[in-house]
Amino acid sequence: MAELNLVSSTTVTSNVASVSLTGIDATYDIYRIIVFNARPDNVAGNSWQARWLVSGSPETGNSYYTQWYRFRYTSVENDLLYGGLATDYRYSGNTVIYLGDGSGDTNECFNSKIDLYKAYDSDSEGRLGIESIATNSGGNPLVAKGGSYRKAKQQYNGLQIFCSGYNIASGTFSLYGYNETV
Amino acid sequence: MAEHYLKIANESATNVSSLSVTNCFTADYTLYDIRYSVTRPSGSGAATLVTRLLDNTNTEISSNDYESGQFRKLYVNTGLETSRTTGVNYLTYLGFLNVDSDNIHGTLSLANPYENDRYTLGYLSNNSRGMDSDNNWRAYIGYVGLKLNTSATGIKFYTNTDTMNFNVQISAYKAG
Repeated sequence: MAELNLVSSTTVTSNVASVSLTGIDATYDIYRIIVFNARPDNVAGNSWQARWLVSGSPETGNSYYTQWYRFRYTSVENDLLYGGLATDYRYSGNTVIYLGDGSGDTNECFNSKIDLYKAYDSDSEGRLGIESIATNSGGNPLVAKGGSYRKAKQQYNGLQIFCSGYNIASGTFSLYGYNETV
Repeated sequence: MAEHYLKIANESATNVSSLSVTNCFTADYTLYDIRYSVTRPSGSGAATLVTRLLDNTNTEISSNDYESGQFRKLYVNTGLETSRTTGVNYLTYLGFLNVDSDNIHGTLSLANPYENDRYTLGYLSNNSRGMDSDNNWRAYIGYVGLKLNTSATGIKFYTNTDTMNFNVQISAYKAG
């Protein structure tokens, strides 16, 4: 991979409602956010979510579309397909991007790689790829792999990340940029 | 500008039954990409490729605490097969090297191998040729993990029977 350049980073050590990473502009072709070992302030916390930022403010309309497969071991085989073909509509026209589940008890946390494509191009929707590796409430490990987009062509300059219903208690959130080379 | 995606290991060996990369997972990093390729050399026998994590004494973690949930068998003109395992003593099965030049390659994105207060989990994207007697290419994608709060500092790739050619590269993300 091309050189990964740090754009901005936030380390959380006490409760905050959300983390906003800004600094996306035309400098790089692709931006990547890495969430390192994030935990909410409650062991029941689960759904990690995000919203695009325009000029630093989160976009809150019903314009987000997220689709991913959730891989995990469970006692019900069909659950392996949760978030897959049968439930793609689940995250259609929502107010947030779904990044996956992750909780804050012992054993548990949330890690994620989020690739942001053409974020600053005013002629493109806000698109991103998601690979979340986490353990949710109850100690169930899982991977969420998929993508999302916001159905609005704007210059997005960042992403706001939060855990639904809970504060973020800990974790490091880093935004990088890189250029594709030939 | 400081680099934030660092190559931390690059190991290879030919005509061996296993390759261990030791002391590669440390407190400095949380998230790793492990890229590997394994090829069956001429004259070697059929073998299964498996991987396990190593503890901080470079001993294989072989307790029955690994589990996975994956899509497999994605080769052309066949249906989708799901695979789930729990309570097994290996991180994941990576494929079968059936005839000469069969090869297996992929990337394992691994989170928290070193931390001893949370599970070690990963996303596997794997491709192999020689999964069965007709030598079809086959892909695996999905989750692998160790449900154990122990510190892993290395990883071992090994076959159950014969010798192979191994190459393993490990990169890590440096937090800002």
